Amino acid sequence: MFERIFIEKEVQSELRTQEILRKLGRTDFEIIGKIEDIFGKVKKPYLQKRESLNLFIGNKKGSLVKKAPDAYGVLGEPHFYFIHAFNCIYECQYCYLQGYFNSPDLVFFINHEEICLEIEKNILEFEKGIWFHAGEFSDSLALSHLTGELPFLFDLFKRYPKAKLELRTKSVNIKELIKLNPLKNIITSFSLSPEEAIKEFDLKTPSLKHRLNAISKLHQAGHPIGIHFDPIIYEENFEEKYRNLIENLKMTIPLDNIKYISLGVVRFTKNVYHQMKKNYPNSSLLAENFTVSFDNKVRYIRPKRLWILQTIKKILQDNGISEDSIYLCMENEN
Amino acid sequence: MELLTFAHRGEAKSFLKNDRFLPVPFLFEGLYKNENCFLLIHGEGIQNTSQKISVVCGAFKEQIHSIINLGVCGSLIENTFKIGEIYPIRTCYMEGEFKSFSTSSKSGVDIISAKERINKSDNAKSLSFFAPLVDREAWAIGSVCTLLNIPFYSFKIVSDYSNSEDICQLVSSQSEEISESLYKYFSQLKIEYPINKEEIKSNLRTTTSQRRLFNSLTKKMELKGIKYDHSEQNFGNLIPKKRTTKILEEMKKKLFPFEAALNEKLENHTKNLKTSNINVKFSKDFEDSSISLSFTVNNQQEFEKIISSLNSFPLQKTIDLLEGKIDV
Repeated sequence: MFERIFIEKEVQSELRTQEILRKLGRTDFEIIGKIEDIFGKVKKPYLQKRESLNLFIGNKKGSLVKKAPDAYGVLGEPHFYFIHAFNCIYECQYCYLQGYFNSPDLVFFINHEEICLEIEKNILEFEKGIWFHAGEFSDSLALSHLTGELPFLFDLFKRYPKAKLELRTKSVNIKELIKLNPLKNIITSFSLSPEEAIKEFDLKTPSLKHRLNAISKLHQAGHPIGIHFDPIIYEENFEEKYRNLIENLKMTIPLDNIKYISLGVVRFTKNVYHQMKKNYPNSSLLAENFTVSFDNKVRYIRPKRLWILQTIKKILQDNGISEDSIYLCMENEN
Repeated sequence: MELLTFAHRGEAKSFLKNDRFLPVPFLFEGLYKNENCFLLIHGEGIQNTSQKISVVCGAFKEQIHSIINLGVCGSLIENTFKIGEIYPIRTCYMEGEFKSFSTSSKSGVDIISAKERINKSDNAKSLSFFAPLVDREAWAIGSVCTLLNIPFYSFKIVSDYSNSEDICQLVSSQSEEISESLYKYFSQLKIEYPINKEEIKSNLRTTTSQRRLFNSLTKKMELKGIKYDHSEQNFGNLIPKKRTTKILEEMKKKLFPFEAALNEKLENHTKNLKTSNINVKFSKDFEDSSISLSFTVNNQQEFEKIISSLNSFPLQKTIDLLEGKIDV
């Protein structure tokens, strides 16, 4: 899986490091001073992740918990995200990680206790509900059998039932999660798209069928579920495709058991759009009529975005989902 | 024509001997040519390489279509690469530089160009974190070729492990064998050059901007799998200029049906305003729902006409369109 493994000197002898190496079946690695001495120091082409992906293991330094942008999650409550890893094994053509780090290599941060302490500090500062999100810079579950932070997060959030944690994923790697006792305030949220869109744009990710299967298993085990229809990509018959997708979802989990459904139309920073052109020159996404929008991101024109969101929102409401359970991600309806 | 580049004369020896290269009288020594290609011996290091390749490419820009670099490199990792084996290079890094440049080879090994000769194991170790091979030129060639948009390739023969003390002597004493190996490798090399995006041919009469738009829309249609052959369309007796405009409109309609429907509806809603000489402006790319109306009045009659047009303007319906409430 990994061409080379780099380990920060200060975590070399930690049991957690040894455990990762054992699970990967590796004894060969390089000891380095700090991850940032090598990771991102040179521009490594993104698609080299296909042939020569490296792994870095170390401690996350600097700010461990960060404020999320407005309209990131359910409205009216503060949102934060924390970072347990950098980069992802998947290859979604629209992914902002293409333009974010200067390397596609994976980084695992193993100072889970420190990250949890920082989350706790933030929880104590806010009396009301507060949200934390995992999966901003890496899928929350895809490598959870290696990264090992889930039990720490469950222990923490069990003590603070008013604080909520969202684990964002496209993965079906639920074996670590399902071992843990479900908590009402830890929501696993799956990003879903119509099957054809998954095949065309979400390269190397589990199929819709497998994602729905994972949702079903987690739901049956009592884990709260959230859904992201994000990014929505326009196709001529997108309405029909989303109608079918919602039908499939309905057969997987009663829709009123879903904690929330977010809707977001595809968007890119200019840099990510430029990277996508370079990495996927034959992607049909490049045939879309995008423009630079209010926040300098590349998107469809506003009437089209709103039309797409309203169309899917209506399908959800026709299927009995209440308006309160639906929120728009990174978009203002008014 | 290809430009073959070498750092040292020793590396180029077999090429010069076997392929009848003749010196080209030029600004500096080291440039040769035969009937198939140029050959440049640019010397060692980033500065020599980038300067000489830039000047040669500038002077012979009509003739040079690609650059092939051949030469020795060191291995920064022991027991991974065979001494004497030749490897295609994939991405070129540079010691202390952020930028990297990829060759046109579909696969290969990465290389880092060092600022100085590497003969200490500490230096070799720190560079090995970025790439397993080391040389002193590849990055410079990548940098020039990227700037000039010329495809480039690099093929390197591993001469040594870069922590050995007597590299220079070793390389110079084996230059005959090294050059011969590179020559044999190059003789059997089949390079598939990236296809230049040719302008899409059509018999349309267009302005330059229409041609650009036509090419861009055609490419987008290909990406979307939309079939459209403008030669099959019947435009009656339209003059060529109008015919082109019509074709471009149809292409846009096929590619962007939502935008076409929106524009058509907005056009309908504002038709009366425009006939009363009221200018209608929407926000850029419709990023908000504001509508700007402006007019000039010269007399009572005009004023009444404008008032009448404004009264019949379906403002809310137009705002609804801008808010995405539209049937497509």
